[in-house]
Amino acid sequence: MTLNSPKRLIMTVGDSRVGKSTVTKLLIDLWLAQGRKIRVYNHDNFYKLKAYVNLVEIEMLDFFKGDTDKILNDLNKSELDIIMVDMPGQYIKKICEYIEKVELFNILLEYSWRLTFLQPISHRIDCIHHLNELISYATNQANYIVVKNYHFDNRFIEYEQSMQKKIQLIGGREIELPALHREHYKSLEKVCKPYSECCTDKSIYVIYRTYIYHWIKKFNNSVLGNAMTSKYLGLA
Amino acid sequence: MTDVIDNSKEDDKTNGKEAIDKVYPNRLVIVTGDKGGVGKSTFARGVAQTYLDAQQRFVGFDADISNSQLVRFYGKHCQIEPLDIFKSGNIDKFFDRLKKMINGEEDDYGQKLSAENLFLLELPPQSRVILQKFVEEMNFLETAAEEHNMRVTMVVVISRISDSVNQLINLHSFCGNRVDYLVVKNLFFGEEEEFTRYDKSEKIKIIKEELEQRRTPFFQVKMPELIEHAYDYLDANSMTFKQGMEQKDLPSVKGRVTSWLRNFKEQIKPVKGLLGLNDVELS
Repeated sequence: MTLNSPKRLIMTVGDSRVGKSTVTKLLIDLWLAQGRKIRVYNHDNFYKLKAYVNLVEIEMLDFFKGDTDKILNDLNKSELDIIMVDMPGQYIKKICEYIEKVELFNILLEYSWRLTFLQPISHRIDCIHHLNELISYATNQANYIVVKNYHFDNRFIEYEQSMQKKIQLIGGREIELPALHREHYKSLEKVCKPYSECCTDKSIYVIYRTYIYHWIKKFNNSVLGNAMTSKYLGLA
Repeated sequence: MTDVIDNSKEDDKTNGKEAIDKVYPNRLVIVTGDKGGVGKSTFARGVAQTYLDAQQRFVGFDADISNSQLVRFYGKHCQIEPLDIFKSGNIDKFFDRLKKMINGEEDDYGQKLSAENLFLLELPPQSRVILQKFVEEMNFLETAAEEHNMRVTMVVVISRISDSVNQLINLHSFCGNRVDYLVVKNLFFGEEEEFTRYDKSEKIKIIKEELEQRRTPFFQVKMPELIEHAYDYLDANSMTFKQGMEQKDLPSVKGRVTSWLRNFKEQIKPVKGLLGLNDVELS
């Protein structure tokens, strides 16, 4: 199945432990369900995506050794639809420097790729600083998706006060990662399988599975329910 | 982010702006660096690319016969002549040829040469003695100035070791204020502020002061580092920087080289007069 272009480079940014790899895994399931050809790069912790190694190509990169240039060479591969990169989120300045050094925006234009920055946020304020810096730097040369992670809190006061307007002005979109009970999440991670397979995995307690199923469904609805959001994430 | 030369800072360390803008009808840019691998060739290639992009006519001489990068990378794109200065008599011939080119005379074969006024010479490692002999015994600098209206710029590419500093001191001992100086800190070897042997050298400080009194330009610039894989790709394919930017196979090389060259030009912009580019806008 060939789907509409352009191709998407999606970079997740932000601190670890705000849900970057959880969102990545949920998205991988969605891309695979839509027959997208994807490649995943990780700067952080290979182990976090272990459940998906048999489904997609996942490569570990050392940002500070220049490995990240490998991603750029994938932009030349016609078979790919999506490249997902987990950026070392706490180093926003370094990321901007990197983008400058490799002429990323021009390269993307030339090879007909679009860029989306994806940042999960919690109620904490520092998440927002990163995003703010990134938007100031990249402005309209990228698309932005904020993932409100309800796991920590269901209020995002800091974000709403200082960032939401800016995101909206620049055409960014919000999606929601619903809260999942700690025990349910633990059992989900424990089986070490793609999330989509966990709903039918008998080793997980059936009630937990029901919650997991609805958790995934809610996230998917949040992504697919808006045409622009889907587009930014390379989904139909 | 791109590095931008801080002019206010630069003024403290380097000599008057008016001196740099002095226009000579002819200029010879000599790229030296007595040790191999210091970045001479990279700098010379960057300058050649800058000339080409600016559509500035020039003739290159590649005296680094054992590692003739200028010929290999740029030989097909502009006029680069190999020159074996270790062979006796050759440097004399070079001087004669330079004179003929400046005047647009006939060469040894009766071919009329087009008049040239900008020359780029890359010297090989360990050629300081020959250069010194040439300057001292042949009165090269005086002749160039008085008879050919030609000013020489000595480009000294330095690393962080003290040899680099000694080489510069030595060069100054026989060139004095008869040449313009351009010191290039090759950032491959470290951050700008890590060139401490150069920055803290008392002798260099004295040289700078002396040259300043005589209104002789002494400037320093940084040469950005090009990431290894991009450098190696150009090398393996004998590509010019421009070709590296235009090839499509490796987007990472394209991006790295584009950004490197832009940065390189930004660095040399304030000293473009020393490179014979007075009237040229560097884009």
